Order: sequence, then structure tokens, then C-alpha cells
Amino acid sequence: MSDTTAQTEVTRVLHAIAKGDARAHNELLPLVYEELRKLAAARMAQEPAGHTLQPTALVHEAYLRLVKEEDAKWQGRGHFFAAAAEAMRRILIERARRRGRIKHGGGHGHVSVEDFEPGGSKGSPEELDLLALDESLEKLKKADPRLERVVTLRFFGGLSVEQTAEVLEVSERTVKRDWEFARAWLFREVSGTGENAGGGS
Amino acid sequence: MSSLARVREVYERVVDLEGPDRERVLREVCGADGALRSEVEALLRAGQDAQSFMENPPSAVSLEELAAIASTDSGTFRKGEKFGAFTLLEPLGQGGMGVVYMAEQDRPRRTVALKLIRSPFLSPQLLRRFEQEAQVLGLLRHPGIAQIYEAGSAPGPDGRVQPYYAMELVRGKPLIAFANERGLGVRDRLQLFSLICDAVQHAHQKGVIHRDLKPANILVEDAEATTGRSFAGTTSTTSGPQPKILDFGVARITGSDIAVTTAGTDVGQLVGTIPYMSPEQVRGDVHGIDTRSDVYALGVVLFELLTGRLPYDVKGKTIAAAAMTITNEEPTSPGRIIASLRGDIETIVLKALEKAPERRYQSAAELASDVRRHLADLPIIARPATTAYQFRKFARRNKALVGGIIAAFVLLTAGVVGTSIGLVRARSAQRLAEQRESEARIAARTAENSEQFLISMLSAANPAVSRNREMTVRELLDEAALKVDAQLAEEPAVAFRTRLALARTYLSIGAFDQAQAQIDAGDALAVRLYGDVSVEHSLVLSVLCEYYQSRSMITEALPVAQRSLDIRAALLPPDDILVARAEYALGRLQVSAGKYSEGLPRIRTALGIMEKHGGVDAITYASELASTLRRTRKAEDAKEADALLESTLQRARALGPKGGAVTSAVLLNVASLHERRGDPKKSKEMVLEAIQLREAFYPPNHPNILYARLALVRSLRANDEPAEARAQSDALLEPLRRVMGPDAAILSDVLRERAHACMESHDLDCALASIRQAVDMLHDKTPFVFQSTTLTILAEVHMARNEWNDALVACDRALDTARARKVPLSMMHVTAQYRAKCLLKLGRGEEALAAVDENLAGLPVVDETLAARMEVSAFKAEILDSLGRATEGQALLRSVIDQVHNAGDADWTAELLEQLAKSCDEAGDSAGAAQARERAHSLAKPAGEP
Repeated sequence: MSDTTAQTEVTRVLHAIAKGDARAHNELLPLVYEELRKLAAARMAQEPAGHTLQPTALVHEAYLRLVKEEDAKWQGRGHFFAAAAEAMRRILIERARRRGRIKHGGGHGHVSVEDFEPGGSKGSPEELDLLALDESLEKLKKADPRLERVVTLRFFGGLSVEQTAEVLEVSERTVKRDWEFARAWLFREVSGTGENAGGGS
Repeated sequence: MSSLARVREVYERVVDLEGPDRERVLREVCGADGALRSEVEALLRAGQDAQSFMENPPSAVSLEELAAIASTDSGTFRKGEKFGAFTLLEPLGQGGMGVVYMAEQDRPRRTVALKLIRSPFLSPQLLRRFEQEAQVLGLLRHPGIAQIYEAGSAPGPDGRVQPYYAMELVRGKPLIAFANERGLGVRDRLQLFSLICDAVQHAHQKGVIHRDLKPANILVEDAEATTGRSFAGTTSTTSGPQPKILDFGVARITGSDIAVTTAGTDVGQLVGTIPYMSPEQVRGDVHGIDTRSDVYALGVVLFELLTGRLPYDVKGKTIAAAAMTITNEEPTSPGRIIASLRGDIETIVLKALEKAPERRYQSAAELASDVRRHLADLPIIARPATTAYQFRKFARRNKALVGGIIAAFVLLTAGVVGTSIGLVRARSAQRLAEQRESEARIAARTAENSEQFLISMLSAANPAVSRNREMTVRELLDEAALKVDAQLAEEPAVAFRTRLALARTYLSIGAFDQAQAQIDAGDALAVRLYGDVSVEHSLVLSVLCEYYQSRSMITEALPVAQRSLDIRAALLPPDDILVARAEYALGRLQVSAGKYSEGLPRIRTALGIMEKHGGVDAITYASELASTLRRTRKAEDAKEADALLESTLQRARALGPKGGAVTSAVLLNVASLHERRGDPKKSKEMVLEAIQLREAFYPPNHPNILYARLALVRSLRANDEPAEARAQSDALLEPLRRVMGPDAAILSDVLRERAHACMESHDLDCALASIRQAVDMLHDKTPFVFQSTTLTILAEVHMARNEWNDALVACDRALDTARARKVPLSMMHVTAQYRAKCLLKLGRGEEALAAVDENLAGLPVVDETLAARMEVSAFKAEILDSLGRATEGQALLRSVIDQVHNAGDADWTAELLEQLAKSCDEAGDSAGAAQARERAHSLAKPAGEP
């Protein structure tokens, strides 16, 4: 067993980020994935098959499991939540991709590869198109990175306006305004009424 | 196009304005910039319509989805992202080893299947080895093999090095699906299969074994697809469909080729692989794997291709059970599934599936050639019958061996997995408690690695290796214990759990010294890794407790149980399963120590917690609570106990066959209750039912079956069937010796029962022989209770044979042991009484008198010892008589008679009165004798009669 525990590993990375080490950001994401894996494994031992969890609740649970409250300052927590929200976004996108693949009959024969079974809960009809949202978010990120972060933190990470404001170190009012604007912008993108609005520059 | 910043600026200025105000500002700000204006207006409209957009959080994910997705690193890559010299195009899927992408290679420019191997622990050496071996694989060039272009490692988006290999992208269908969709007949299928054999043969000639052949790894391309594209110069000349085997040789370099694979592979992912594994692979016998292991897998593929089924039904079985099936059972005959396969085809398939590699086709080419001979209506080479016959003979000869090993395996893994799961649960509830590493993963991995370790132990019992020797559970354990240090040096957490499991199993066969050594070593690890206030340390304490308990060292066990409970109560939520277990253990100990008032509430608490969690533990606890309640001898407790046992038995039975283990345990509990209540018939029925359940539930000769059969011996004796009891114990001794080893404690239990049964059927020679064997098994670590019981029975047998000197020696030895262990004499009063009898018979009256006095002095004057005190006193009167002190003796006897009479035991009173009468006769006091007989006579009339 290695001496560095997941916890201290996270603490170390959070410290590195706080000191401005940009590369440390990249190290955080795998740790979060790791944590989500553990969490899923642990919960699977307890819950019946097919048990579902709210993605946003998962983010918070992952945080609680990993970081000791007295350990991390709010600053560090922010980075953690940012990574967790990003991880959750990627996981949900991957799920949407897989479901899409299965729906369209796959087509690729590479099946060394146990084909993924959707976990019972099919996407509801009114569920939004996460793949389209993801693409639009990437576009938005290029134009205004903060807007993308607000959306990822709030929608995928389940953070409140207040928490989002603290993570991004902006006022709550700014978060609210960002959220409203980003939502309008994304809605227009996703519903296909906009033409490449505001890209670039 | 307006910049987003500009659009946003305008948007924010007008968004809170209404009607004309908004219109005015828009006009002012945008001026002639119509594009900007329409952009902002569109966004304002969207804002109106978007009220419910993203209002609800994303839909819930199932745990399985989460685990599956988070387990691959696919989430860390995005479409179009670069990885090394590749551009990822789209994920193709995921398997046990990681995720597969369709990717574009830069140079040479080609589309490839890129496998990113998930492996959390990679040393530079391992990476180098991986790359080297992959180079060898690159040399395989055959139209039937998907070529491996290159392997290496590159930094992933997270900066961590990620091993990968790039392989020819095959656009085909998996073998079985292809054959079914085309509606291929048997001949076409055989034709296709022979092509697969050719490809395998090619690789074998280059020294590469696949090790993971299965239909999912074999894709079939259409003729057009093959000719339409060219891959690395491989041009196909076949006109029909071309099978392509994927992942050739990869299993070895990624280590996923033996039954329990590398860390991080979960058992679920093995499920798709196990049915295709050869016996040597499921045994984890790395050195036994060769090209003939692939021949075996080809046999399974052919079986499935022709019948649509697998040769063995391993669905839903545990790895251990599947391994047992594959190693021991005969495969289904293909001809039984599809009659037209009888004859040659069946013979070919079965030959490929032979358990012993030397009985299979020796190469894929031989297999292909027999298939082609059959297609050409030529006689095939394979001959059935004799070979299979020989192997079956061998398997039969070694049945006990196989059974014993599997039994040990099941015991061990049950322990390991049990504690790990308990721990995972505890931890997730604990949430914020101090953690080392990733507990869940560690726990899961430890369980697997322990299992892997044990499977590799099984390979030691490979018939090829130990053909002339039968391994017992004991030997297997010893071997495992020896190897823990060497093989698990780098995995202290695994070593810790393995030691714990070993300790438990040693305990279960009564090997106390070995158990203690494992406990000590395990505790050292637990304290070093987790500290002495840790759940892990408390797990060790529990096993230590079991150790003391099985050695009847209750006094030593109590504080240990208390400490274990304290630690868990401090670290875990109060309703945690582990807390319940500790409460239960402590409660049971307190009950054994006679502290019912303290123990009972604990068992109740434990039961309460377990009921919340449900499952079989609750049933076990309820059954234990019931039998504890029986022991308090309070009427209301007995009533509760009966009701509880009844309902518990019902609950257990409701579980059906899968609850066989727990139901049989409850049944045995109820059986002993009936026996104590004087209903041996009912008791026997239940024991028989328990045995039946266990025989259905456990592999043959599992220790738990043998334990239940011991209960049957007891029950038969209680039913006055000593001959049958003796026969049963005879039948039990042999498998016990083989499975548990010649020193197993349970053997002496059986020998004691057998001695009694022989005595009861008046075969005193047999009785003496049995009990002597039991005595020979005694050693200084044997729990005291067993020592004294065994020696006392020896004395009994000698007494029955009128061998008073020998009986005296046996008694002395028993009493000496008690003295050495500082056991209170009160526990030995029966033996002391026997001793006094021997002394009297040997004409040593004074010594006998001293002996009974000592015995009496040791018996505390409480109600519970009344019967013992009276019995000893009555005997003392007899001694006094023989010493010529009849008056004294008669006075004593009279007082005994009064007390026994007062206690309400009429029969005994009558017996004692007869003793008194005889004493009076001898003393010439005929009046006293007549008076005593008169009183006895009046007592003999039942109270209600006139």
C-alpha cells in the first residue's frame, strides 16, 4: 500500500492548484473519477441492481467521502467541485453517447468489448439532448469560458448560486446573470434557432 | 458577426427593460448594426422560452452505468482529441482491459482500433515489458488475425501515462452472430471454424498463444469487405467470409488470462471469459498454459458455434464453483443437444475439450485437419471412449482430493469476501472517517487478489503435480500460509486479509497453533497499516476471540470481545453490521460465562441491527438468541425461545435452496433443542433434513456436511440406535481424515461418540479402541473440555471392563489436567466421583473417602449443584459403610434422602432408600431396613392413585 492516501493526494493537488500550478488541474480529474468509481463500487455492494442516483448528489457525496471538512479551505473545495462537475458532465455525455449507439444499432463489430447494457432507465422523451448541449457548451466556452463554467457547475455539479459564486470568486449577482444569459444562449443553440451566434472573437 | 461580449453587453442593458424602454435603448445602442440587434432580440426571445430549460437536474444514473463509465478512462477523452500519434475518432466499446476507440494514426496514415489499457499500477519496467512483447505480436501476419500494429504508451489528457496498442480495424460481425444471421448450416460453420484453426495454428508456430479465444474475439468479414480494403499488405485470397481473431497474445501481456485476473478487473467481467477457459487456466496454473489451452478454447468455440450453447453451465456460478465445474464435470455431449452432431463431430468436439492437455488435439492444425477430414467424409483421427474413460477413472480416484480442496477454498474465500464486503459497507456509511487510499477499490481488489492467491494454491493440487499424494485441507492451508510472505509482500492489505482467512480456517479444523500464528501476523499488519484503533484491528480481535472461544478460554476472550466492540462503536454508526457482529460475539461469550443478564440484551441488540439489514445473518442471530433463551431455564424465556425458533425456521425455509446453509444451521439448533426436551425422534428428523440440505448446498465432503453427520451420530445414540450410530461414525471417520487431516479436532469428537455407541451396544473392545484413538490425539493445546471429557470416557470404558487400575489412571490424568489449568474442581465432579469409585473398588477406602470429601468441598452449596452434591454424598455413605462406619453413613444417607425427596425426585429417593435398607441389613438392623423399604414402597405408588 502506498503512503499517499487518496485524501492527502487530493489535498496535495488542491494545494498545488492554489499555488498556481496549472498542471495540477489535470491531476484532479482522474482523482475524481477514481472517487466516483469507488463510490459506485461501495454503493453497489449495498443497493439492489439498477439503483439510480442523482448525478448532482453524487458529486456532493464524492466530495464528502474524499475531503475532510477541516482540511480543505473553500478555495480548495471550489477546485474540487469544478473537477467533479466536469467529471459528471463527461460521464453523462458518455452515457448519452452509449445509449445513442445502442439505439442506432451499433454497427461497429468491435465486440471484444462486452456491449454496454443501459441500466434500465431509458432517457425520457422530454429529456434534453445532452450531446447537443455538450457541443454548444464547448462553443460557449471558446467565446466566454466563465459562462461555460457557471453552467457546468450549476447544471452538472448541482451547485447553488451561492456556491457557484464562491467557486468562481464572483458575486452571486454575476452568477445569476451569467446563468440567465448562458441559458438563453444555449437554448437558442440547442433548439436550432440560432446560427452560430457569437462564436469566435 | 458580433462578438459574444458585445452581444452580452447589449443584452444585459435591455433584459430588465420593458416594451418602449427596451426598444429605445436597443435603437440607441445598436444603431445601424442590424445583425447585433437581431442577435440580441433572438436571445431575449430564447430567454423567455428557456424558462424550464436546464431547470431540472440531469436524469439519474444507475450505479452500474456509473461504475461502467467511470471505470474506463473514456470520459477523459473527447472526440477529436489527440492521443500520442493518434486522433481519437469515436469510442467503439469497452472491455475488461479498457476502452477501444476508432482512431486515425498519423504515420502511416490509417484508421486503427486503438485499445487504451486500464491499469492503475504501472511501473516503468512493466511498461517496457509490455512494449517489447507487443513488438513480438506485431510479427504475426495472417489474414485470420487482426494485426497488432504497435503498442506503447503516451500521456493521456490527465498527464498520466497510458499504455495502448493499435490494431487493425476489423469491420466484421462476431462469429456466432455472423453464422446465425447468414443462417449457415453445419458444414459452412465447420468450414469457417477450420479457417479459425488455421489462424491460431499460424500464431502458435510463431510462439504466440492467444489465451482468451472466444466468439466475441473472432469477427467475420464478408468477402467484399476483405477485398475492398487493404491492411498493411495483407491481401486475402479467400473468396468466402474471412474470420479475424482479435487481441492475439494480448491476454498474456496484460495479464488477463488466468481465472482471477489482474487487479482492477472485476469478477463480472470475467463472466464472459470463464466458460472458454481450460481447466489449467481456471486453476490459475500459469505454467500449465500452452498452445493446447487454445485448442481447448477452440473446442468451446466449436461447441457453441454448432449448438448455440456452452459445454458447461456456469451461468450464475461463483468463480470457485465455475472452476470446480470446468475441472471436474464432464461436458454436455453436443449430440444430446442436436442429435445430428452425434458421431464424428461430437468426438472431435469432446476431444478438444479433454481436461488433460495431453488428451486433446495436440495442435490447432490437428483439430483443423480432423474437421476437414470429416467434411471430406474421411475417417477422423480422434477416437472417443478409451481416453475419456481413463480420465474419468482418474477423477473418480481423486474425488475426495478434489472435494477437500474445494471445501478449503470455499471456506477461505467466504471469509475473505465476507470481511471485505462488511468493511466496504462500514466505510461508505462512515463517509468522513479517516481513510487510507481508496477503500472500496482496495477492499474489492483485496478480495479478488486473495481469491487469486488461493486459486494459485489450487494449482498446487493440480493432479499432474500431486498425482501420488492426496492433499488435505490442512496441507493446503500450510502451503498457503507459507506462501503469504513471499507472494504477497507487495500487497500487505491482501496479506492481511489472507492471514485473517487462514486463521479462521485453521480454527475451523482445530489447528490452534497455526491459527494463532496467523492471527499474530495479521494483527501486526493491521496495526502497521491501519493503527490500533481501526476497524481492521477489530477484525483481528474478533478472530482472536473465536480462537479463545474454540479453546474454551472464555475469561481471555471476554476483554478481547469488549475491545473489539469498543473500537467499532467508536468508529462506525451504531447500526452498522460490524457493530452488530461485535455485540453478538460479546453477548455470546457473556452467555457462555453464565452472565445471561448481560449477554442476552447484547444478542437482542445485535439481532435488532441485523434485522434492519436483512439477510441471512438475522436468521442465524435469531436462532442463536432462541437457543440462549432456552438455557436461562426460565419458563417465559423458554416460551419465547420456542416461538422464535419456530418462526426462524420458517424464515430460513422460505429462502429455498439458496438458504440451504442457514436453514440447515437452524435445523441443527432446533434438533438439539428437541433432544434436550426428550424428543429424540423429532431431533433425528431435523438432523437428517439438515444433512440433506447441506449435501445439496455444499460440494461433496465439505466440512459442514461432515459436522452435520456428526450431529446425526449423536442423535442416533439419543434414539437408542447405538448400532446405527456406530456404523455412521465408521463411515464418517475416513472422509474426515482425508479432508480435514489426521489431527483435526472433529475426529476426536467422532471417536468419542463412537466409543459411547460401542459401549451402548456392549462391544467394549470397540469402545476401548475408539476412545484410545481419541486419547492419542490429545495434545497440550487441546481445549480443556475435550481433554477431560475424553479421559473421563476412557475411565468409563475401563470401569465397564472392570479394569479399575486403568480407570484410576485415566481419572487421575483428567484431574491433573484440570489442576494444571486451574479449572475449579466443581467442573470435574463426575470424574472425581469415578476416581473415588475406582479407589473403593481397589480396596483403598480411606483414599476414596478423602476423594469424596475433596469433591464435596469443591461443590458450592447452590441449587444448581444439588444433584451432584447428593450423588457424591450418597456415595460417601457407601464408603463409610465399607469402612465400618455404618451409623455415620446411614445418618448421611438419611439426610440425602430427605433432600432428594424434597426436591421431588421420587425415583431417586426410592433408589436411595433401597441403598439405606441394604446398609441396615448388613448392619443387622432389620427394623431400619424394613422401615426404609416400607417408605420406598409407599413412594412407588403414583400420587393420584388411591
